[in-house]
Amino acid sequence: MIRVLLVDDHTLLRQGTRALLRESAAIEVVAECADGAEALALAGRLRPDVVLLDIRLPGMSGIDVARALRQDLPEIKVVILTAWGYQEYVRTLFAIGVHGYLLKTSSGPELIAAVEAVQRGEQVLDAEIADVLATITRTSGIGAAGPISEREREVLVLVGQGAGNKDIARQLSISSRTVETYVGNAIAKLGARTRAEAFSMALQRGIILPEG
Amino acid sequence: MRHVRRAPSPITFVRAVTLLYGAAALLGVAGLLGTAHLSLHVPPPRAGAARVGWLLPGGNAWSLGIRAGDRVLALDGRPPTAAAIRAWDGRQLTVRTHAGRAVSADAAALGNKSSTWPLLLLSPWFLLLGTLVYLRAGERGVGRVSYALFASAALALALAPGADADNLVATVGEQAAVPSFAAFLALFFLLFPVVRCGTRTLVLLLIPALVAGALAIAALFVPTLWPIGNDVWLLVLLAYPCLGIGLVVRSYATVRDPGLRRGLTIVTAGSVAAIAPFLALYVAPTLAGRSPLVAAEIGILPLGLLPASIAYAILRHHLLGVSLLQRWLVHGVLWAVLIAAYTAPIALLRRLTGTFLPEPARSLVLAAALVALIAGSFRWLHDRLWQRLDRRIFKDRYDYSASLQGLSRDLSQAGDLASLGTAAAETLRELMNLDFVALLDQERGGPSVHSVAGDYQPALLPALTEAAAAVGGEAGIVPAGHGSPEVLVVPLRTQDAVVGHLYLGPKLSGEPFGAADTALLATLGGHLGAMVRNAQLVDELRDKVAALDALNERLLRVQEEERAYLVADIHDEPLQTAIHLHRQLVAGERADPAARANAALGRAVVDQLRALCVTIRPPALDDLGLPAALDRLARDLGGRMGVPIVVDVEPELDDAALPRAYDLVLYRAAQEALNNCLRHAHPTQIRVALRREGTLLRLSVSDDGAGFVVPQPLDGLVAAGHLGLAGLRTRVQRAGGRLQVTSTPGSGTELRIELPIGEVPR
Repeated sequence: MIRVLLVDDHTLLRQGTRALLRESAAIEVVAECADGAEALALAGRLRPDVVLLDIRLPGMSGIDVARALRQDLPEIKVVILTAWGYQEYVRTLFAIGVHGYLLKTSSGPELIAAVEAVQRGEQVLDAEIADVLATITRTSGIGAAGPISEREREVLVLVGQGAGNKDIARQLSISSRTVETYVGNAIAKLGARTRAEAFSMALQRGIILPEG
Repeated sequence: MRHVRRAPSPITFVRAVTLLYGAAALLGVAGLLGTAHLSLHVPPPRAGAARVGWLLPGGNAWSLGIRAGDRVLALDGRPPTAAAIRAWDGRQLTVRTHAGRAVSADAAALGNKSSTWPLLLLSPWFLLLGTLVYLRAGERGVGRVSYALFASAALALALAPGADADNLVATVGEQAAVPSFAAFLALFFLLFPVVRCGTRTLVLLLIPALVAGALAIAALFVPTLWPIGNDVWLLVLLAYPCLGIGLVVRSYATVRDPGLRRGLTIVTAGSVAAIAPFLALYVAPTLAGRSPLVAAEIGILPLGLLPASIAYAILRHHLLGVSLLQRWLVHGVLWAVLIAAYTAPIALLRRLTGTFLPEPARSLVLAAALVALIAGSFRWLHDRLWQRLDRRIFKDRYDYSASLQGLSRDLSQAGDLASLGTAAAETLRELMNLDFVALLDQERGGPSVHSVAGDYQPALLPALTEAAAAVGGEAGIVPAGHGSPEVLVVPLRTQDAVVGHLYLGPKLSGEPFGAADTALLATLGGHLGAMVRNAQLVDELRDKVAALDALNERLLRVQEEERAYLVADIHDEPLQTAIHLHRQLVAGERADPAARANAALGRAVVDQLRALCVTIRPPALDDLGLPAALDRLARDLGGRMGVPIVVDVEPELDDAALPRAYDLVLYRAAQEALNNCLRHAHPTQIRVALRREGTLLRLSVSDDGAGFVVPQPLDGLVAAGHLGLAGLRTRVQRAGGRLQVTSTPGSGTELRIELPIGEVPR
């Protein structure tokens, strides 16, 4: 049984999501809430397996909640469920270390499959976003600035070792926000979609060596 | 010009004294120039020999030993017959004295004309100094006594040649004037510089002098009184100055004020040097019954040092609060010096020509030389000397047109009202040697001090305002309040109104304002009025621009806030509802395939609402920060226009370096720059860079497009039609930053924004 916490401030949508997840016998929604601070409290108390998290929340934003969860409760899988499918959101949140990024427009089966995949340890990206990212211009934006820098390479190596941003920050003596920026830039430059993909692509392209 | 005059001076008394002095001087002149007579009467003999009747005690004949009753041996060389006595004109006689000697007296040979004329020449200076002190002294009592002192000295000196020539009236005057002078000298030092007594004491102190004078005059007619009268007279002459010198020495010991002390030193030294020789060399030996060491008229000559020292002390140390340097006085002295200077060469020429030119030719040559000399040089010499003196003494001499030109130039160069006012005030103060100059601005709320120069007292403001009201729209001289100095008030007029007033404090020399001063100020008033009005208008304009700026900024802020609310509202309600609706439709698809089209429509609504949010205000800016928002902007615009836009953000720019307050400014700046560039420049590549350099955060947007001519300075952006850039510049400046645009037509443009970081509140 996968225990899920639902965080969304729009009541109707939250109930809709809950209805969609009810289709799976393997998933149980253990709680739902409408704001970030409550989400953190519930996650700490109930220790769910997966948190389905909206980005725009009253008070503390979903991005900050994701950061706090990844840092303090790393065993909980975080899946973003949002209306925004933009590349910079996807990149930033994978850089923070979330496990999945889904759009609210995704269907019930897609949602269930994603939760289950995340539970298995995979990183999941909404198929629609993946399509968009595949066609997005590679000539404009931050990723177009040039090759992977030495700092970005160092960060990727640590990502490959499974380190969280906090650990990487400590090891490299920089702030964890800066680590996010490096991971995000590496994702953008490599044309990767997720954090894990960035590492494997860097490995494939010989930017980092398997020995690490 | 309207003058509000002070109360008239006690000039009537001065006139009377001056008349008296004139009569005395005439007697003196008569004594010097007139035919000499012996003051001696030979009555026609009724029986026996002719004998001397009355003769002037102390006179020339008296001093030869001739006394009343002496037998007359000859008159003008003839025997003293009754006819000869009647015809005798008093020139020469020979008598046999009581001692049995035959003594001859010749009026022409007697007397001491060569040493008495300097006394006559010295006398007017005493009167002049005394009159000035009397009319100008701050302390009335001292003024009066010093006037009495100097006037009595002047009278005594003027009468000296007359007395010397045995003129009876002159002698009587002399007998009265000399002890009076001595008494007034003592009185003067009783009052100066520390007042030690009242009027009663002064009058009592005068009594010995009056007695001595009366006794001496009586002795002239009752010769038996003469010895005692003369002794008392001399005693008084010795006692008073000794008292005076004692008093002055005492003052010197007690006075502590350094300025007064220095003045007193000069007066003391002058008085002692003036009086002591006379007392020591003439009065003392005479009193002791011996013959004087020098003649009285020689011994009294140093007396000239007395007015000289007092005048010097007054000029140098402002003693008695008198300003002696009257312009007419200086001018008069200048004329006298010039006349003397011209007399010398003429006299020389006369002497030189006398040897080889016969008479009519000589006079003609002299006249021609005189005319040529005076015509050729007088004006130049006079003007030059007068200007020098004026500058040196009064310090307010200026060339009217040159000064006006200089001031006008300064005024037209002054950028703002503050520097204009200060420059004008300081220049005027120096030019006219004024105590102070104040420029008051007629603002809506009443006058306010605009700029001042010199010793302006803020407490004067109400009085000055009152003064301005008193003169109305015209320039005028008014006392600024009770006991305050007179100020010249000049209204600064424009065509329709008085915009302010210029106040000129009194001249430091104590001189009144002259016609040239008022003419200069009248002209300047107009100029200054126009300048002040202009500056006021500029100030008003500046205020209005500032108000517009503030309004503009407020509009921008409100617009951004509205946008943020709008995006939040769209996101929170319509977008979420649309997503829900879409889900419901997708769920319904399985039951009813016709609903598929509806699901697609629902999906379209969701996408449109999302796009709307991004257009109004990118959510990434609020959610993720500036770098992510720039990334989004670059991808959107670059993708749409087919132009690569490279975003290069320094990776270690964290929150501390990138204050939230700057996010929006920089985002909008980049948006404006990118839109401009894509719309007009047709670039092949654009680069957006965000870097930290020291304490500056720099956003740079550069392209390789067409470029444009950048107006320099950037204030010309609006006029050149670059309204977007102009607005952006205002926005950046409001945030405390700087916008620079560099562009070369044909090779691209770089827009650079620099904002200070470090101390900026987040």
